[in-house]
Amino acid sequence: MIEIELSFLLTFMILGAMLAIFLSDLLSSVIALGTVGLGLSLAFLLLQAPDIAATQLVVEILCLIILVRATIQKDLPDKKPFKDYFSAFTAIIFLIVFLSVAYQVLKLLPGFGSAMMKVSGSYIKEAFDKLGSRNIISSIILEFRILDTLCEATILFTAVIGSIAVLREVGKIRKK
Amino acid sequence: MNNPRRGMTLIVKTVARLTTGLILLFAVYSIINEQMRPGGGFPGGIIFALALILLLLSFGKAGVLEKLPEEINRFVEGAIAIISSALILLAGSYFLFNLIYPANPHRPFSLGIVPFCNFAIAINVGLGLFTVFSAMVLFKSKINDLKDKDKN
Repeated sequence: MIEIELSFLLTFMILGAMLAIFLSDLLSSVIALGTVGLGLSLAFLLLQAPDIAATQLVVEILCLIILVRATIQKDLPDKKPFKDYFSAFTAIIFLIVFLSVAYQVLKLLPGFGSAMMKVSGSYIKEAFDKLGSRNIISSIILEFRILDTLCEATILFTAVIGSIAVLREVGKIRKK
Repeated sequence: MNNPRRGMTLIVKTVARLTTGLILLFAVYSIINEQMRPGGGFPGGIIFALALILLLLSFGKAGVLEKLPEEINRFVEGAIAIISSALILLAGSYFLFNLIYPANPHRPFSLGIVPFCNFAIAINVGLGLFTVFSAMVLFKSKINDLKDKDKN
């Protein structure tokens, strides 16, 4: 039953992503991209991960606001007639190769719902006894894998500094 | 409403004034209760940033950022320094070593260094993403001001 709901949600997300690519209006494209994140949040909720669902929903709202702020005065609709047949041909060939390789790889993975629980099984067993945390996710990301979380925070900090360095155009104008 | 420095209409301002406190309260709740229910530092920090963005959007640049005193920036910097040094000091034997095993599962702030790390993550995420948004707003206004000066 859950596979049917998940495939419905994934189809919705793929349609939203294709719409976001092919729309000529940038603002409509941003909003179509928002539906992809909303569908992903619903999929996380369906797979019983409310922690990640809440994070995804909140990040989606923030990204939507930032993207709307970035694109609201830079609407550049350009619609060219499709002419490049060579690139379309290579794209189709690459898609066929990619799908065949992905099929071979996906056959090797364990089935849906029966994951290999080598490390995570011991986490689930030991989390409550060793740490006493009722929310097992916080005990994993902030205790068992805290160096991972530290590096994630560093990546976010680096991204913020990089975006400020890209966005600042005042110095360039003053040089003129 | 046409002037972005003045903010939006009276209705939006009133609603934003009423709801921003509740949103900040929910962010703090989500940060504190990270070991008891879903949530945690990352979504809590983003909810914090969203409340600040709501203020910025509804009241405009002149309403928020020019009234923001210098002391708040210094307080935030000091808080980040204190928390990072506390993280290093709390490491008894090695880096990021947790001191309390096991904790009381029904109480917040009983999980060793986990609440401190959570608070640090919330500050990092929330203020970082709010910095991106305010940079997009402020640098553009500075560019426009410089262009106006050149015209005059």
